[in-house]
Amino acid sequence: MTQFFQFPLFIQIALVVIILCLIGLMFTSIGMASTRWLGYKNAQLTEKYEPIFLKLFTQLVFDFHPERTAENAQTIALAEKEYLQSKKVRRLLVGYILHYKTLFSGSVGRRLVSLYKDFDLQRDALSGLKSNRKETLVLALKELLDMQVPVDPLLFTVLKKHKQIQVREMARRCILTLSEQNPFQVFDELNEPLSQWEQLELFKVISEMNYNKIPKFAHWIHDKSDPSLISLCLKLTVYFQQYDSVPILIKMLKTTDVTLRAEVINALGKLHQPECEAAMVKLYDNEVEAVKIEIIKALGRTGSGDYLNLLKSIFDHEPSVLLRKHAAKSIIKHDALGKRVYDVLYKQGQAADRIILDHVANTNIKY
Amino acid sequence: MKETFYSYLVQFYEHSVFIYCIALFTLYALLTGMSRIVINRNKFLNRFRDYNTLLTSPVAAGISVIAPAYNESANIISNVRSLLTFNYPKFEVIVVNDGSTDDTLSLLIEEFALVQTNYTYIPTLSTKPVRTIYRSSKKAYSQLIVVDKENGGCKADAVNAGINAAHHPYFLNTDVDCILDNDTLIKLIQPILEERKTVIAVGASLRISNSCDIDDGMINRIRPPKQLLASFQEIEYTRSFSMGKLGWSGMNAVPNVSGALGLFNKRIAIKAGGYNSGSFAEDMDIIVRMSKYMCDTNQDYAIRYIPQTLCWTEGPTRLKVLVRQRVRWARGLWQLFASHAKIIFNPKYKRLGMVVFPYNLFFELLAPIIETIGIIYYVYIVVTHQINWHFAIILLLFVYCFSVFITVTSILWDQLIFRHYRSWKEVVALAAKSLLEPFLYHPLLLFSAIKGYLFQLFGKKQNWGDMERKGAAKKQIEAEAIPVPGPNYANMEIPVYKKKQIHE
Repeated sequence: MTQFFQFPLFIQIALVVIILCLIGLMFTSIGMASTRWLGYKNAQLTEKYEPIFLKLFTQLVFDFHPERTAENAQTIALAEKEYLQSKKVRRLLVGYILHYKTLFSGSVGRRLVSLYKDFDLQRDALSGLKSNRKETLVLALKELLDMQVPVDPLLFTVLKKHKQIQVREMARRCILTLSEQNPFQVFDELNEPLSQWEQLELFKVISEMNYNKIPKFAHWIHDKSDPSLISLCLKLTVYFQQYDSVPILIKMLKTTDVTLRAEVINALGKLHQPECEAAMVKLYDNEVEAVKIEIIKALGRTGSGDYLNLLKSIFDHEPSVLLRKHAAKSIIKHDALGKRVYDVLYKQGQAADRIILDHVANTNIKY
Repeated sequence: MKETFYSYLVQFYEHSVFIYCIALFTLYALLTGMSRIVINRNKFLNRFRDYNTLLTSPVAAGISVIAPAYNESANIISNVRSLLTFNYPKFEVIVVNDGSTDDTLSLLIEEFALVQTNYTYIPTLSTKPVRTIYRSSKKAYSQLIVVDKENGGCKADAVNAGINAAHHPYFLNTDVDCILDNDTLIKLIQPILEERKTVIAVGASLRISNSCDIDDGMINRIRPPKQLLASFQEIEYTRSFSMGKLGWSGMNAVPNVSGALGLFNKRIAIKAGGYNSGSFAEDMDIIVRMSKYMCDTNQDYAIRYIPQTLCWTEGPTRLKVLVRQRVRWARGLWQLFASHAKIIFNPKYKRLGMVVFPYNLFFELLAPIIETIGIIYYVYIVVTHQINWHFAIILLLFVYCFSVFITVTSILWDQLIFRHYRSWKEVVALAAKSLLEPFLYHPLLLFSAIKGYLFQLFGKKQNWGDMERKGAAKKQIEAEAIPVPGPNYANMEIPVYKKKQIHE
């Protein structure tokens, strides 16, 4: 040790680093071995219980006979007694149920949920709700959500203000799925942007839920809402075909956010309401290309025929090939009305024009 | 007086090199810790994100898969079939036939019932002329577009043509000879959907496919390579992706996204000018230019890496081929600094200027030079009997132990994410090879880097070389008796800094 302190400083540092690396290597090797070992043990556990679970699923889910009450109750009691005392086995079973739940809907899906409840498998997830770890909390919420286990609404009120974003996201999903009274209040209280992923998830939740009353999503389409919420509400407005929202959407065309304006026009087009065409066309000349494309597409989707001349003029005079292509496509979308214009354009067109016209007329080409 | 000055100089040099080592080791330790955080976060997100949401979503963002092909007749059919089977709701596959001289195109035409199509191709990025665009007459292959163009001499030109033909807002840049996981798109889009800022590029881990069991463009069983040279590359890739890239991703300072697999925001890539046909490291170059564009336009952005291995590529098994590849990479790095020198230490470019570029300069570009000078100095003091052997051995051990520690840890990190290798023996064998790596593989890389710098310095023209495909290609050749394919991209002549010539 005395000799160590006689070495120059850089040698002392080098020696310390060598020792730290050797200790680190030892821990890494132990870590590697234990990871493999744990993996091996988990694989063994799965191998052992997989046939048992499959038998259980066959009797209680896939080939379920409600009249065999006593037999079913006996199987449940036996499973409880023999192996579901162990948390590891319970979690394994929950994993299988959740997996099958993603594969099956309808009566099988409902049976899976009741199997989960019959075995009281929610006990682990419910205790997970008390955890301070965000991972445990989020996974518990997800499990309860997937299994439609009712949870105290007060809990969500707390969780939607949680410091961790994933917890807040999950709480919002839970409220929209499980809450019976005014689930859409989450949109009123939203004070942060929604990620694109959350938008996808909320879209799925809302579009698949059987709400007593679907709100008018245009209620959240205004200047004060976050653009991400407006974007979601636009998609929902289109999905639920809320035509009476068109005037609100037209008002929204004044927004200074270019991306949002393009989205509003996209939504207007998908609502197929001719009364919005004039408002969009008015914007055309001063817009950037992305918005112009949306206006052209919207005119095609609406297909009233009032602006066929404009589309023809765009095809004839716009220097941008992309705009010309979309104009041609929108002309074709006018069906019989557009056919005549298309034929004229084709007849008068040069080789380059005909490439565009052939492209848009080819049913094998989607875009 | 002379003696004193000399000893001061030596002392200064020795201390500087030691401080350099400590700085490098500290950075690696930091990256190791950071990569662990990223892995944990990703594992957690994967547990609670339901990918079915994306798979069934009518509002998912579209992705164009761009796969350039040059003389790939041996693998083209199985690999294109594999690309067409991605699990994703909205994508198209654009195969760019870059003037192949073999039957790549005719095979595609025959297999996928391709017909010449009048197609609106908008040449936003300049490339060699496009000859024809093919689409399939069968509905089943409606996502497939084949762009047949004149040979551009490099992958960059072909990818640019693919970007021009792409319709979706994101594009995946890959090689047609790579084997991709079916869930590649769904996994790569995740960070883009997850982040609240604009993610301009996403990468994932790459691995060596040399000893894997491959059948019809799909991997049946993953094995570490049996050949020593390929094993070292596997170790290098594991370290680079599981540790380096993930660590950088955690700090939002990813220096590059691999050319074999990367998902990019098309709009930003076009704004940045697309791929540079004159660069030897076009993958690194485009990331720098995209980041530069974002900083110049004052937009917040991120570049992310995900830990999952989604791409398997065949590593060179011959020394000559490997050296040629690494010489090219070294030249690319040099080119990068020559063309973007203004970025370094420029606070306007935030992390790119203050972290990525300084790191690349000191620990990537200069490292081989510092190491070579160190070796020369070492030999000199041995020859002149000035060496203190005790200290010298301690210092060598210091570097060696740290290198092995980092490598073994990266293999563990990899084990934490996936248990790709079925048997523990395969893991131990790979970890054991890391003991040899500093003696056998590292000097080779050092030699290649110095050679690359010298080539670049003297403006020597470099052949891209034959990348020789053995694995999947060989199996198919045997089965279908297709003639051995001609040279790959790799055979193309690329003049250094003569970008105009390429575009003309």
